[in-house]
Amino acid sequence: MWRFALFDAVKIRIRGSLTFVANYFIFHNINIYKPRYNEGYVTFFVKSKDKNKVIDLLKQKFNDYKIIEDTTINNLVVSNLKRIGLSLGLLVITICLYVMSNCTVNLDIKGNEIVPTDTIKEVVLDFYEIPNFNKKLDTRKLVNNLIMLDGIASASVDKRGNTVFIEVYEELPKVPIIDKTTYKDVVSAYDGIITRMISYSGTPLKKVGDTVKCGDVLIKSKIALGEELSVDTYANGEVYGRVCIKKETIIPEMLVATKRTGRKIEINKFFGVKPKNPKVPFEHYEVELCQIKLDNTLCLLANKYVYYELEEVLEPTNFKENESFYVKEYTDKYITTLPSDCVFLRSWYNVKLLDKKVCLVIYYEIETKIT
Amino acid sequence: MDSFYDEMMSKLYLDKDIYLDFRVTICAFKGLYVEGHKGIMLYNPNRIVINVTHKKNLEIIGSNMVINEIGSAEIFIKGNIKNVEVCLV
Repeated sequence: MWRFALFDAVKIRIRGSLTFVANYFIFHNINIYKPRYNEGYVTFFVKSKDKNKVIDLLKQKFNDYKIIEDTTINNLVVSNLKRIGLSLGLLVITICLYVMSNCTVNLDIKGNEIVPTDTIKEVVLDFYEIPNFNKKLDTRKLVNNLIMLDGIASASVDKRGNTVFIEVYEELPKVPIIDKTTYKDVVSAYDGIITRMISYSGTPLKKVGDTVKCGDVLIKSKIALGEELSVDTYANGEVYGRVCIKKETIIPEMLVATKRTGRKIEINKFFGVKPKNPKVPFEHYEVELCQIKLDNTLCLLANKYVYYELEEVLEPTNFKENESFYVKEYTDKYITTLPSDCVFLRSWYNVKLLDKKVCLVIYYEIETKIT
Repeated sequence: MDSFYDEMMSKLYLDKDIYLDFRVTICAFKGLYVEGHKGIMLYNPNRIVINVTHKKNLEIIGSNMVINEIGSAEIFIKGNIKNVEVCLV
């Protein structure tokens, strides 16, 4: 209870004995806090609500009383109102707190492993811009929009404080349906040499080291019972082989390339907001994004979108001079088209010179599943 | 449910009327709480005398004792308390 004496209280000093002062106020049903006696003077605290009553009582008995401290709320407000800076500061803080508590600033996305966060973020930002000063968010519509995305089974949207929490639940990977009722042979899909072979059911017709052609039967869907009798069965197995894949491309004498003309437009955006339908006067353009600091003291960051005008230019290919460049470019380009589970062994190339054109043939030797 | 005092009085087989005039609670000889006092008779940091009934005084002896709060019915005293006595006037 004595804690009240420190705040919203009045500290008074009077001349007299502590016992007399204490008993005097007790008699008038007034609580006093922290009474201290020092060199003929008694100091004590009284609650602000008793202030007027205490002053009246003091005037009756003690004429030389003195109010040392007045920490009542009224007194604090009145004394601080004169300080314009403090009042303005408090006003600004109040406005900022009100605005900040009403606007949405953050976006928290979790639960996604396959679907990229940027894709989800785009869907959310299309529906509800962030930062947003609109307190209302239609969560049902946003959930429906999120479910429309491929790979998302369900989603939950919750807005707490100035953050939108989004939790997505992704679809489970689909299990392949194997039809075991129809009896089909396991057939090779490539030309190559068998390196590894596992037969789960059926009769294997090839072995490791055998050369196979596309369409050759690797595992027969029949099991021999004795010399004449055979039974149909579901053929299954994994066959890996060394395969050579050929990719061919024709490089013309002249190629169309894009070049910057030098004309550009700059758009600055704060708080990570993307420009919506920017008015760019160029037919062809490319965008470059960079972050700029507007002020060192406040650390005001802005996104700078630069739109460069592009024009199409015909450029000679000069294959003989840039042979290594084209070979590397097309080798890297076609390597992405190879089967995802294959093991790359080596690659080589061959150049055929045609009339005003060059035919570049790239060969890849890989080890892959050939069934 | 009985209060702490009611339970204590019942365990000591005492009448409840006995403690109606005043109560004293000592906290680890560092603080003291008196309920139902009639005023303060003497105060100095080593000795405090409190009037509890018209015939009895409560004498608290200790060191560095200060009054934290004093009201019409209760007193909070803080300090090193050595002895608490009820003296007949």
